[in-house]
Amino acid sequence: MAVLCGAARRPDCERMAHEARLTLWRSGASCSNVDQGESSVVEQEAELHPAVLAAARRGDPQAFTEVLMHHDRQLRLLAFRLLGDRQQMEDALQDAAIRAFRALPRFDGRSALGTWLHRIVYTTCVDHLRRRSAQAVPASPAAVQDMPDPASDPLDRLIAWESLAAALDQLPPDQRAALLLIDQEGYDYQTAGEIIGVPAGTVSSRVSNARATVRRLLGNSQRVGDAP
Amino acid sequence: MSAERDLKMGRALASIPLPELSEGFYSRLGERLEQASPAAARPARRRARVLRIGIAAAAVAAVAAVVAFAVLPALRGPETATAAEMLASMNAAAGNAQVVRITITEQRALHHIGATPSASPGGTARPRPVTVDEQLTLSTAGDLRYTSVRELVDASQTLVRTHGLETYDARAHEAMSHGTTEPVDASDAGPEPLSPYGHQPVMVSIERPSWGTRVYSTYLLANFRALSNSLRALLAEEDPSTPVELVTYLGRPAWRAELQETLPAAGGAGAVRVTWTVTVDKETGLLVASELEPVSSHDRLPGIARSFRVTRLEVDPDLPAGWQRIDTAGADMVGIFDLGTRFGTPETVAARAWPTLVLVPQEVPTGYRLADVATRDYRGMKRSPGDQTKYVVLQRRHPQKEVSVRTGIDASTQRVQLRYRRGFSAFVVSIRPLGTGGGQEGGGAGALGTQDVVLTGGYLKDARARVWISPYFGEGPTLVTSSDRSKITITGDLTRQELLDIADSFTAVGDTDKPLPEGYGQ
Repeated sequence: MAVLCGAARRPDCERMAHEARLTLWRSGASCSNVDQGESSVVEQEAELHPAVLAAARRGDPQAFTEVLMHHDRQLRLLAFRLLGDRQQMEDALQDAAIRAFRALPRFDGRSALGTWLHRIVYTTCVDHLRRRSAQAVPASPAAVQDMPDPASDPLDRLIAWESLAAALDQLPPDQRAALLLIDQEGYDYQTAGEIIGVPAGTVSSRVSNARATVRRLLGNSQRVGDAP
Repeated sequence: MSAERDLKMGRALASIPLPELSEGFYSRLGERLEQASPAAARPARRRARVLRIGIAAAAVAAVAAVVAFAVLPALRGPETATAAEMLASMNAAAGNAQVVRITITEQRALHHIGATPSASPGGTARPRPVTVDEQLTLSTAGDLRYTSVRELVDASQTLVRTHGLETYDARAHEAMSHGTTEPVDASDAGPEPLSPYGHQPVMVSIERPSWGTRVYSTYLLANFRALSNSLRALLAEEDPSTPVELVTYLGRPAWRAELQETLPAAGGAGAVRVTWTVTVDKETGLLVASELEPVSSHDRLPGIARSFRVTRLEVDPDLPAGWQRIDTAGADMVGIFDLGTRFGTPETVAARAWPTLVLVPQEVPTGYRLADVATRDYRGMKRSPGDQTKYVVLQRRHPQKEVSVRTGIDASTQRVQLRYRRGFSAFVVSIRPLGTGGGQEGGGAGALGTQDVVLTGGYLKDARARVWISPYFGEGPTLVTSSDRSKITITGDLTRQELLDIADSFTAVGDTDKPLPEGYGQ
């Protein structure tokens, strides 16, 4: 990945480089670890060039955008699963980005940057949820209608993920977040606890409860992991 | 990879689709980051930061022993500003925007569907989910277009879809409306069925300079207008240092504030404190969402929308020429209502309306400009001897013409109205003869924020006046007073102080020395 920052670079070159990265990012080329849940977010940390982070911490907006793009899919995943609505996901991500940008100079590196960003996105989403009188809106087909269906048999796959999404939406947001962070994103209990703001033991119990609830809701009609 | 991970669950979770970000997400974010970068720090931000640092220092002192996360600095809550900063921003809002289009899409449950397939075997009708679409386009000139599509059950228990379309052409002062109704299964027509018109006429009326059209008589938009008009006034009632949030709504920077209002409790015993959580688009100053709590208070005050959410906001959208009118070329029938409204200058209107005088404020909030002055017969379409209101129906395909011409407008019934505009906001000064109805003088009696004052300047010096700002009553902030011959109402997007400043600054246009007709105003 190209390094974004460079003190002597001309603004128009920066803009062109930025647009090129946007194009790459939109095409999915910049998100390498998105394969079906077995990769870990921790593995991505090494890819971000230290110079980009340094520039972002100095207050370079473009460098910070680069940082966000690097973590885009995981942050988007957490926000969408918690809020259940694309527009609200985007609003929360914008708010979280501004908060993180302002706080980045004080980021001391004791936790991983991804953990730190997850924590900010999580708390921002919780703020958004508190403002809503209802719980998170289910991830309905309408909410994701513009997404490609990755299934070999679209109908079967649609039924599978819809059932699971409906079960996920039945979970309280704190359990939902714990389940996503541990089982989908691959964090350990300690790190997930830093993100959610609870001890590791609490994460463990929340994940256990969440797994049990999801399996119970799916019932005999479909076992988790049997989806095509 | 964590040993605590359930890989099977992880794979299943990963199968759930995840939406991409919309086009332009990072461009919009980039603009906001540029504004938030240290180089662009503004005095307002510095003040907010000082506040946050103060809060953080207190928090750290209290919990320092237990907090060890490196993430703490970013977790002090949303970006904040103060009520005073939000008010100042709204005072200068509208910016360069000329037109906005807001869309409200709601899912509702439709009950009481009779003999339809949705009725359950037990005879109890199941609720049917229906979508209600409303779209309102506004210009800073006062033009308006409103469309609505909704499903409901008609008198024959048939599920029908109604399409409503109303427009207001501010330059021509003409309001137009048209609507169609069809069985739900009959058509997949879009939100604006311009053809065929069916047998319902397109109605055209010359509007008085109040709020544009009867659009605002609809439940949702009446609430929208009243609360929109009240936002600045409610903000001004707050402690200026009250924190408000800077958030993102529909991808745009927005203010979010909790505004307090005290209302009389049910039965008139005591009071109840309610909170409006409002979200206001920062660039345009438009209300885009509101939530009222507690719900129990709302239940005691029917007719108030508990929540309101704009689902799409477009600033300066591409619009066809004439968007603020209905094309009548294909209409079977056009009904024209002339309510006797006549526009002019303060001097020409005063000459027509005497003995009602035109009262022109010399002090208006910065940015407001006089948009319209007009006079009209307050009785509108009521037929009475001496009334020269015209009622015309033109049937194009069946060339008949009905014309009802009334003669001799009674001077004692003339109402004068002045409308001022600023961006998408407006306020109206209405002056009508004593003894004529249609005012709001009793409207604020139930509002605890009601204040009785004596005016201290201008033509109405020493007159008693009543002020209230509750969005529950009428059209929002209102001042009512009277002179020797007229009732005067000021209402619209004004704070309490602005209402008083306007009322204290009137000059009279018209013949003030001429004796009033005998029995006038009684």
